[in-house]
Amino acid sequence: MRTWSCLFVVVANLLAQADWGTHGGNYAAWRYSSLAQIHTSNVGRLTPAWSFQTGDIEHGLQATPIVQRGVMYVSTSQGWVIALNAADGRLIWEYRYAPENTAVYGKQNRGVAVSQGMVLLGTADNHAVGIDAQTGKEKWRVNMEDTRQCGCNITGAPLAVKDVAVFGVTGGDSAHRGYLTALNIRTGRFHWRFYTIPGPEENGHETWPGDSWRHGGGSTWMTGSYDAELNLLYWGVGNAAGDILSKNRRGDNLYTASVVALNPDTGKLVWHYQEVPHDVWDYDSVYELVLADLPVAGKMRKLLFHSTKAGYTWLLDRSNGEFIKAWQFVKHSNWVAGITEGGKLVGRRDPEIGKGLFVCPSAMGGKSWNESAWSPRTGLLYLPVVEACNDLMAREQEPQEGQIYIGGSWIIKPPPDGKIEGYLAAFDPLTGSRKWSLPGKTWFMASLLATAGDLLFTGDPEGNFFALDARDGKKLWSFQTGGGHRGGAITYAVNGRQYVATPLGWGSFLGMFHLSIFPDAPAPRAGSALMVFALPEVGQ
Amino acid sequence: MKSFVLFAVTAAAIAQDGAALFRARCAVPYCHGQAGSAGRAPKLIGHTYNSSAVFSIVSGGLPAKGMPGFDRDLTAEEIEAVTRYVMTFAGAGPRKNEWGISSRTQLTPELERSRNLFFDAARMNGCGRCHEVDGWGSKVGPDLSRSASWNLRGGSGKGVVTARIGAETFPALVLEPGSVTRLWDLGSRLPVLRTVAGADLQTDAASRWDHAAETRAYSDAELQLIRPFLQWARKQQPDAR
Repeated sequence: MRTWSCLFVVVANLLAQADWGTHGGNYAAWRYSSLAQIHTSNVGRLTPAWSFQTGDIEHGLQATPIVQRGVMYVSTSQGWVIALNAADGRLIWEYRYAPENTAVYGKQNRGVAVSQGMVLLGTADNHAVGIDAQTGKEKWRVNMEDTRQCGCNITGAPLAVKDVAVFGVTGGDSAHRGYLTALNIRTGRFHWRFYTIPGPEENGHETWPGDSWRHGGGSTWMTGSYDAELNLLYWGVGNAAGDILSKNRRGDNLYTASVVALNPDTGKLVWHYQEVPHDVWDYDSVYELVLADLPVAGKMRKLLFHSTKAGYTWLLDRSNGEFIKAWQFVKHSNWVAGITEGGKLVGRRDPEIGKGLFVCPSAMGGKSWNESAWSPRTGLLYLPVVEACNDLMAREQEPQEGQIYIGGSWIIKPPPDGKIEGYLAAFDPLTGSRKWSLPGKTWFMASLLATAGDLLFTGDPEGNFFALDARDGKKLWSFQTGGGHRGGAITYAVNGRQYVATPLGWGSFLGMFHLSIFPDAPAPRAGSALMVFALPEVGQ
Repeated sequence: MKSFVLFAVTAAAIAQDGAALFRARCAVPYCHGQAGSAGRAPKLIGHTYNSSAVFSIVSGGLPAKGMPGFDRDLTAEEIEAVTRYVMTFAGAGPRKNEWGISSRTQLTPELERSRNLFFDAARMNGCGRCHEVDGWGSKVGPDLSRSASWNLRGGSGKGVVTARIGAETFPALVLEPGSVTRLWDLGSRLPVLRTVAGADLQTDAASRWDHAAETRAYSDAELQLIRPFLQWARKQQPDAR
């Protein structure tokens, strides 16, 4: 067992070394790099190396760039893909996708996958595109489902696994049935589609009365993880629809608000774990799934940490989906009284039709979609936490294919202590004990980056990009970039020199809500740029 | 914040109350966004409104669109204030439909069933995967609203060739032949629009591609039920009237 876990760590480190090869830094979604040239003692000397303006500023730059063999690939909100020399920012090629339609989930793009000489892109009008990584020329495109019909599109980064690229889909707040689709990386040909809501005669279909399965949500709008040794693809599935209205869908509503583990060769379900049966709070479980091997009760376990909108981190055995533990990472939570040692929700507070119910965390989530980081060196899981509540009220609504299907409303409210706040916090993932936290001026909406230099990087809406000591949260370095941060910072090396790159430029739906939540704070600045830092070169 | 303050200052005093109500109830992230700039619900800026229609929509909602009614939460005076605030948006931005969503043509229940079968999401969007009709679907195969009769099982197979690229052989519809060729690869359950070097491509006019295999998710009876929707779509064409 120990040998295998060591091997897993070694493989993950090799992947992270030099390159930032996948959306989460490795298939295990660690957002951690083993590069340590920049560390706690020299990070204060970090200085800008280059910057690049994409020119596509609507909804900011939310992507996590990919770096492979000295080339950086980044995607913008409308679906432009740009390849840059990662050492100096020189443009290699640019591909501009022009979406014909847009779903209500907007023009937002959180990244590409790069594999087998191809760059894989999901688009705002629900197409998948394969681009030649050398030339930037489009090789293929596939209409996954007409966006005018489904009201859905692609905002998340695909995940390339072996010969296929796996794409998620939005649509969780619409009358839509979610899915994952796997296409051949070289040709774009269809391999499989996994519907997150079982159809007639499939297991789990009985958890949906009548026709409710046809429009029950279950979107897959963020990016999954992969364990090559177990050959399992993990993906988080979003809320059930109508989000707040439960009367049309009495039952557990599988596999919404769940983790699913699929065989990536066939798309067949191997196991599932439903975190929130019969979700009525819009508690998407779509966020990143962090894979790590740690001892639990003296025995090494293959774990999966899953921190979701519901304000809890679930610990599962990723080989079989067994529930191990769930711990609360937000301070304010009243949607359930708690979660038992067996994983059952107790003391549920379900919204009712026409009656307001004060619920924490809010539908914005105890954490937004910006991703956590896990450092195997410190053994800490770093989360961007949001403390907010909402008044939920269910309303009668009949679903109409592809149209918004929320079945109620929510009004964001401060927690009982009076203040909506955001902070970064470091947790022991096994116990949930909080080691340190850093309050934001407003909140933290960019993904986190941990490194073997014991550093934690991220940016804030106010424009600062900064480094903390990952062990104690002490701020070691900060740089005013001039734009709000909502993307994913990365680190990589070219010719032995380590770089730290951050996207910047404010955007996203939650971003548009910033001023309503923090009316006295300055507006985060829009834009769409990359800013890249390094230590001064020897001799300078 | 600055533009928002300026905006409120230029509006009537009553609209300021409406602005506060709007900010709390309508500007939430899934709905109309800051000062009507659009969240997941449509952008309100830049449209011309009828104030009585706005009042009734804010009061009673648009259940089919997911817009809640606020008559239980707000007093009539408060709804009036929100209405006045929304009316101040007219002309403040580009006049276009932010989301580009075409609203569906209202059909009789029988035609509705027929249309639903044509685009059935439970069959991976059925015929809509390859045929665009009345604003939904993909333009891979022929425009069925241009025909007067349909061989729904057999199809026409017109233009489908056998394409060869290296070791690959697949049925294809060639769109733009040339040094760079665009073609539909029909050897995939979701058609793939591929771009290939003309020099790498060989085509053979004979093809074993079979529309009957593509339509096997439908029974003969179901295909007959699809026919009324196509007849209706045909009648919508100017030359058919």
